[in-house]
Amino acid sequence: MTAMHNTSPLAGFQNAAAESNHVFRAVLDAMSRPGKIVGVSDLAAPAGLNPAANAILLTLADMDTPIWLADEIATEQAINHIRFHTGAEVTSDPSRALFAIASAETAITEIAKLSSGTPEAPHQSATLILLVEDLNAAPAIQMTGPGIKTKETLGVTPLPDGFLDWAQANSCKFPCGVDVIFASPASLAALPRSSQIEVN
Amino acid sequence: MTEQQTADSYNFAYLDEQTKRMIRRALLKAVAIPGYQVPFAGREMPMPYGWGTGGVQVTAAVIGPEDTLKVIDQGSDDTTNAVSIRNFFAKTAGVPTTDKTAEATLIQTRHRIPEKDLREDQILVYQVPIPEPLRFLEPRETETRKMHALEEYGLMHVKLYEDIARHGHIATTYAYPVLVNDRYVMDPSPIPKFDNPKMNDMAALQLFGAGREKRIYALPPYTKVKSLDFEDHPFVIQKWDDICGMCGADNTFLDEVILDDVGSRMFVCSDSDHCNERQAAGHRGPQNGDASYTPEAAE
Ligand SMILES: [Zn+2]
Repeated sequence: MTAMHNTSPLAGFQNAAAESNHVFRAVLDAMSRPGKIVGVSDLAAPAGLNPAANAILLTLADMDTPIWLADEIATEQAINHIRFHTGAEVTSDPSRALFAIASAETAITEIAKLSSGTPEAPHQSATLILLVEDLNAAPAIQMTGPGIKTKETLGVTPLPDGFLDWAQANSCKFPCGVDVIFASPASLAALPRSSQIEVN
Repeated sequence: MTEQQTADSYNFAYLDEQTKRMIRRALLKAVAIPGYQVPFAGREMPMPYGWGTGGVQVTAAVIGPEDTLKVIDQGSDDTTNAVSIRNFFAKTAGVPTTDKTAEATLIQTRHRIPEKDLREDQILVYQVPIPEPLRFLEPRETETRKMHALEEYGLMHVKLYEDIARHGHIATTYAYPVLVNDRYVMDPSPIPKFDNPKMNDMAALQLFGAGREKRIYALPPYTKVKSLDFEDHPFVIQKWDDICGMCGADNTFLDEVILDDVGSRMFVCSDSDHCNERQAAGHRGPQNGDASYTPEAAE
């Protein structure tokens, strides 16, 4: 640790009930309508995280949800901040995580270690929060499935190398699988395991 | 954060934030696996089971200050159950409530789906007494869990076929089982099978909460929901020879109402908001000033 870097937790929600409800509704809306881009409030994030990912963790994580952070995200401040606000265990083992935070720098081999649940308990699977710079309606990924009237398109940049191949294999495991939330600084979109994707 | 702010916000919609987080996580997994029952650690609610504690917990985890809530029971906004749940959230969440389907953002229901098409910006929460559609075939949870995992739904079809052997048709009229997204057999809660087709491809998100058995399940918008049937005995909804005595509707779910002690009766829409709206728009049924009624004229 050096004096140059702030490792202290930042402030959390001012009004936990109202703000966490707002963030949850955004995530619920996104997960219910894969590919839809939903705005979230701009709560300042610690080094390593971005505001949307931070808000999602403060809304959904607690002592019952081990969190795995990819190396580039696991700053001392991010770890302290998450522990302080959520009480969650930060684990170095991705296969134990219920929430995983990764980015385009993360090796897909690490993401591939996340839990997909079991046929009898497919809900016991990880939710991957992927930090991205931009979400837009570019037709990069075409999605079909529950929550989508006909076809949805989503542009996401940047993605980890091999991510789309992993995502296609992930949806083939249904009802098992990992659910993905793309978190840009001010918005989010989801790719649940139930969506089939085609890559343009 | 001051003590006062914490106290004010802590019990918004009755549940503590810890419980809401747990229910919210279950809801998100339920949405990601349409028709699959996610177990959750339910909480005691200040109302007896049978009063929709599962639906109430789901609503409490979802509802926000910007929502407008409608609560229906058997299609009516005015039963004791509907009124008490509506008052509970008006008091604990301070949200506006409404009888009008079109004005609600969040609708909690027991036993009906509103007649009016729901929109993308609405959420429908069902109260569920028995979430497991296979329970009457197999009492053990470990076994039904396996059956869902392996898609072993043959027994369910056998049960429906026994109905046909005994009655000449499928006699199940409530909680008629559906297949979700070509994968999970799901109990739609005790709605009449008349309402089953409304679940298919619905624009609104549908959430299901079972309080006693502590299960949550969901149908994302635009999800394929098919009532189980057979090629030689296709699924059909209930039909009535009568029309609504009050508004003249010929395409709604009707309740029979006894008018006097000599057996006079009429049929009225079970969805009271829908019936009122039609009457306000000038539609009249035979018991409500439409003396010229004939079935043909009602078309
Ligand atoms: Zn009517």
